[in-house]
Amino acid sequence: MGKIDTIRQLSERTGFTQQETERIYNRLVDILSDHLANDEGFTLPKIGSFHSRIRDSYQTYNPHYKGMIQLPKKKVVQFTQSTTLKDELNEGK
Amino acid sequence: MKDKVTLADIVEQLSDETYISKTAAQEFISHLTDVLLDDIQDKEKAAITNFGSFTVVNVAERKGVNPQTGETITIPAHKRLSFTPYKALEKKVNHEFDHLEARVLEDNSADEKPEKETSKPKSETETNSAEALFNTLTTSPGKQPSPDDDPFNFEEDEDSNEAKMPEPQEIQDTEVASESISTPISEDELLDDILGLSEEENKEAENDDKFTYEVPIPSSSFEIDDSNLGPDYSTGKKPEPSFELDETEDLEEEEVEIEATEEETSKETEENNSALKTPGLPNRDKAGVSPTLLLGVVGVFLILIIATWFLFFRTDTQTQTADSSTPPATQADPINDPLAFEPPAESEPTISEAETESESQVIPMIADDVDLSENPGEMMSIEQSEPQIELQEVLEITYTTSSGVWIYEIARQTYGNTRLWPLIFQANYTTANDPDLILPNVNLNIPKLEGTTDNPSSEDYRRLADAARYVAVAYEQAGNSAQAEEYRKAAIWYESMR
Repeated sequence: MGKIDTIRQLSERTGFTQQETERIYNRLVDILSDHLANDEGFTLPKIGSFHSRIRDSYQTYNPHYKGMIQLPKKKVVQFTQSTTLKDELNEGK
Repeated sequence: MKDKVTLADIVEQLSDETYISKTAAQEFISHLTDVLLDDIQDKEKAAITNFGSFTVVNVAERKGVNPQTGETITIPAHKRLSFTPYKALEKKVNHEFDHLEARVLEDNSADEKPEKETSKPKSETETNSAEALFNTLTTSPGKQPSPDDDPFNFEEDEDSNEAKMPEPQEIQDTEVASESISTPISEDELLDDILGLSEEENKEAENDDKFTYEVPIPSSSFEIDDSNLGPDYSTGKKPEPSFELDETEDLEEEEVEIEATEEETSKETEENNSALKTPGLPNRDKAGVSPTLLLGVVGVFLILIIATWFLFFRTDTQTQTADSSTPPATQADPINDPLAFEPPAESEPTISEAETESESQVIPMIADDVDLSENPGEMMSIEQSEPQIELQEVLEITYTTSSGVWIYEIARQTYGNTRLWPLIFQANYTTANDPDLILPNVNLNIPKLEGTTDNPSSEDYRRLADAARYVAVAYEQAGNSAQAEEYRKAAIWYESMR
């Protein structure tokens, strides 16, 4: 599902026009990204929590060079699913 | 360092920045999570565009250890929601370490190294020859390592390919020699240096066979290049102390030099060949065929380079084109001469032929390349005229619209660019028509362009401006003043492009 579909569904549910919805949506994405870029984690209810962490440099095999390469350290987004969602996903079993 | 932001903070921030109430912002986020959850339940994947995507992954059953009791337990197969950030987010978060780059570790590079080394010289020769051409026009030819380096890399490749005899020591030697030559030498000392070098290499020639006698030849042709370029640089942009010599003196000297170096080379080859008889050489069956082939390839390559050069400096006078024709000679010679010298390895009778060839080649090559350099002009005209013919053929046909095709879609299919749709509109409709309406099943005349779609002529721009104004009027009558204004601006822009 693309962004347009999401926006359409959201505008139906919230009552905003699609243009307004897209504006708010973009703003929200920016806010969330900024928080992660500033080392600030947050939680989206029922989905999970996000935070950024530094991943150390490590070695791995590069099939193109046919040799080991050293990847630099990097700050990555870490996602932890919410327990309620986990239960929902696995409730059939 | 690691802070946490509550949902309330995000809600407040969102309401502040988008001028909506907090409850609306709260609702918006909860609706968004609902939409995501619906997607996750239905399709097992969801996405927040420009933030990240979620997918449900199946985790297989595995053995684990209970960290509290230490007993092994089996973790049953289950589903888990995984999150993959979008590139935009990834980059934003990683802005601190964005400058760091992965590096190849050298330890286990035994396999990869030869690959790299063989591939590198090829790319260098390609880039160098192009650069060298440009450099000869802009910088001093004395500081030009590439024409010297080229033949060696080329040679090394050839030898490894044809003879398949790795000769690391000799390669090193020649590399050293090429370096010593490639270092900038003042013009006055060049002759002495070349003589000195060639003498040195004569000594080397007695030891190792084929690489050495190629060295003096590039340098001799190198000299010729200087003489021809000399006049240009005496008046040229970048003053070089080495070019303060008189032109006439230069030319006279060069002639003497050419003769001297040629005599030398002939001597060398004789010496070399006498030396060649003793060590067993790899047989070179291909050597007889490849020179002609490579000559052709080099010729085509030169034409291409000069053609591109012509594109940029078309306005320049012929005096510069005459100058430009000489650098190719320097490039061609180092490559061709070694090839011409290769046959001697086979047997004695061919030596004399090869010698005479190579001697005669040095000067005629320049003449050949002058001819070559003139060709690109013709080639350009051909290149430009060809697409025109095609376009004319294509665009003279009428186009039958099927239902549901916009005019700009027709323009895309016929011209290859939607931008030109006003031309079609002007040719087929009156201003009473709304340009945005679809008019199905009509035979449309597609006016042909004078130039090409990518490169319209002045007349085309005039017609485009005309058509744009026409469309603007049509829009005005259809009540779409915003679009009308847009196309009035476009008309002005087209006029400015003429």
